Amino acid sequence: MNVLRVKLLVLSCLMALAAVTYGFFAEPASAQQRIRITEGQVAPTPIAIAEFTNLDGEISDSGRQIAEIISNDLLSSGLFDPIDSAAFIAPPKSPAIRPDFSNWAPLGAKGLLVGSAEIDADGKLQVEFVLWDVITQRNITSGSGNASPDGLRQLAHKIADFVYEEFTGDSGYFDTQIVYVAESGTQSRRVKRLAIMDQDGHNHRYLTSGLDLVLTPRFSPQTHEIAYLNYFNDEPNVYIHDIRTGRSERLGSFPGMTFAPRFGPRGDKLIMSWAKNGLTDIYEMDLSTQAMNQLTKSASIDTSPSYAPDGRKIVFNSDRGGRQQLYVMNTDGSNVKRISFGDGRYATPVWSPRGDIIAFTKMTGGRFYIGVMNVDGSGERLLAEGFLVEAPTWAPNGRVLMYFKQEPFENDGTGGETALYRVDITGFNERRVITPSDASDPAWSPVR
Amino acid sequence: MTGRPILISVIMHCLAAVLAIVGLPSLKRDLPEDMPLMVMEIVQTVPETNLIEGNKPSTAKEEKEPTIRKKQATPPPKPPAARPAPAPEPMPKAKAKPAPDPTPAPKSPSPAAEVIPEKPTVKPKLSKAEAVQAPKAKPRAMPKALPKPKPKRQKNVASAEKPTPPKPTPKKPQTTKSTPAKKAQDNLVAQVNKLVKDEQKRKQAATGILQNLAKVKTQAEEAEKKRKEQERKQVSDTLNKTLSAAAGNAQRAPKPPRNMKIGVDVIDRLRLHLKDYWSPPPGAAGNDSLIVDIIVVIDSESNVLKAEIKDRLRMSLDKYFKASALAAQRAMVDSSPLPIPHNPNGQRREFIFEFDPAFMSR
Repeated sequence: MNVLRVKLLVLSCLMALAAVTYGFFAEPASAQQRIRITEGQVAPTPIAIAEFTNLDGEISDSGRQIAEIISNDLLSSGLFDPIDSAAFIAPPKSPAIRPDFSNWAPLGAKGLLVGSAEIDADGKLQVEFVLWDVITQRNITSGSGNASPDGLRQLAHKIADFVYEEFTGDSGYFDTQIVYVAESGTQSRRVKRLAIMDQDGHNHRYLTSGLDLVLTPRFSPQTHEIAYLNYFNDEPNVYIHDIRTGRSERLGSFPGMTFAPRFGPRGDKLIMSWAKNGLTDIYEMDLSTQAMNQLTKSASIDTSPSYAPDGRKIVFNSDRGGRQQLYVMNTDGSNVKRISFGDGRYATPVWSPRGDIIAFTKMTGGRFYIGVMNVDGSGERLLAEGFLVEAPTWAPNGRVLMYFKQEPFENDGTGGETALYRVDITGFNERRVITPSDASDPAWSPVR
Repeated sequence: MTGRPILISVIMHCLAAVLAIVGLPSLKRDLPEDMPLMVMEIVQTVPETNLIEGNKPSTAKEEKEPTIRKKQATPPPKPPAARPAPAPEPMPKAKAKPAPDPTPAPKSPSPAAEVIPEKPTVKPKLSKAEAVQAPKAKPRAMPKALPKPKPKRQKNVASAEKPTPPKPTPKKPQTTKSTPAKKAQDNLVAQVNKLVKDEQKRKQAATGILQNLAKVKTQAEEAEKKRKEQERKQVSDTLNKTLSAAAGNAQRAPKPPRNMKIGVDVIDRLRLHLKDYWSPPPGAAGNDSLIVDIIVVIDSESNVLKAEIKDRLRMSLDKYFKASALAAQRAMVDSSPLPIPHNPNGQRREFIFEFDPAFMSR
């Protein structure tokens, strides 16, 4: 013990000596005056998207189309303000030529995207682009790519992702898809089909015929698989649909299932709530063995589970406290903690892909809300409100939420339309996503 | 049992004492290193006031190069090559202050012109002093050392001169005068013994002379060294005095505009002004760690000459920080000129603008 004490004493003396020596010989602080700026403005960034040119410096159809897609993507994010190309003083001829910034600064542009698009001898679309900072007159980023002419839209979405990331710091989400439940028919004879589209509403197609009732589709982390519920003979069946092959595989029948399964972060597990013997608890299924593991064992109703992106925690809602609230537990079911303490009821929690916040649906005062809170339950903010707003799903960058809204019914039975909406986590820029028919239960894919 | 705590206490005190002793040398080592640093600090402050460049020559290598060039240039007025030599000097200055426009350009040559006369004046003094004083030291050392050895030399020389001619022969006639053979033999033996002793004395004397000569030489060398050192000290003292005087004048003169502070009212105006130009990226929302420092250099009319992101390393590692930093940099450049009162001295000023996007999460 004495030796230990002596060692500790020597160590502490040495540390103190080092600290004193460092403090004595450390460089003095710089003499420059420091001015703290704490106020700015939250405004869309003005950006000029020049139409892409071909090798001759002329604007091609594909170049015009690409610029339009990029502009629409950036505009839809609410964070950019693309400048009308009619205002351009001297449109650039090639990305290889340094632009004359004096032509762009007066337009108020802070960024300028210049590119070329050319179909080569193999019939492939070759694209190059350069993103300029108009204010500092520096090249921010540049890149190139190729695709089949059918892949023009995806290529343009990828370029938009580049621009988005450079100006916001967040990863882009334009090259993603949305799977949702397309609804049609009267309320008494509602047809629900699984549909998929690009995040901007293009490339829409149906995945199921509509003969069976489908609900709550969820993307797997691998992006090409979708898990969904298919009610056949009033019995819920879990299906896995492969987008690439177009085939659906029945995973099994789970009578008593009360909430659609969600994939685990690695795609090897499904988590769901299951009513068994009159008790609704949360279960985890190993997709390779299809073995079920019960995570909660309580007399209350535990449902709506969602994994944290690191796979270490699960958030769910339960009425074990007397009212429907949000809880967080370890993935083995231990260490359950309540995180929501506000008025009303909380449901359908979804952990953000960034891991920092949780989105939820809140019901209070006869209204529905979409909100977010920190993972410890603090900092609750409500982003959207409606007669019925539900089923939030995250964009892969964790900045944008999509959900569906239902309008109230009229006395004559009309109304009750459902539509998809999305909103920035700041609560700004709520936009309706155009779909061919009514839409509900959206699920956002990872970036392709 | 009671002795144990005392023993522990004694050990602990000993350890503390040992630590204190062991710790001291490192501090002592650092101290002398700091001494030259003091000079360096003065040198650094000078450049800002145009006096610094005069100090630069005092730092060994740089001084020699310009002086050599200047020497070559001055004695042979013919070689145009000597003039191009000073020309490269302004070049590095232009590089050091990179972008800054044509306006600083005229300033840089003028300090160069000031520096040039200072450098040659200082260095030639050093070289001349060494050349002149060295000869003086020799004569002074010689007389001091000589008086003592002189008598020895005379004696030794006399004794030495006697043996050199193998010529004790003249004494032989004396021996011949004493006729008895035994006496003659005894005399011969005695002479031989004397010769042997003389030779020993000579050797001793010779060694003594050599030793004395060596002593004289070493003394002379030491004296020379001392004088050289004294002269060097004098020169360095004069240099230091002139440099410190220059630095002192620079410090007494109006403070460098770079450090000139602006008032609260101006800061408020700046905040209002920048509010219209700074739109932090939305990714900064809720992220308290995305505070960005921008080092801003403005000219006398408050135009932004340079807006540099301080933490470049983090920029390459953190994409959120990069977006925040670029937004802050854009705001600084875009908001030029800044609503800061013009600098009547016509010199640049430097500030650090700290952009804190905390307002976004309110």
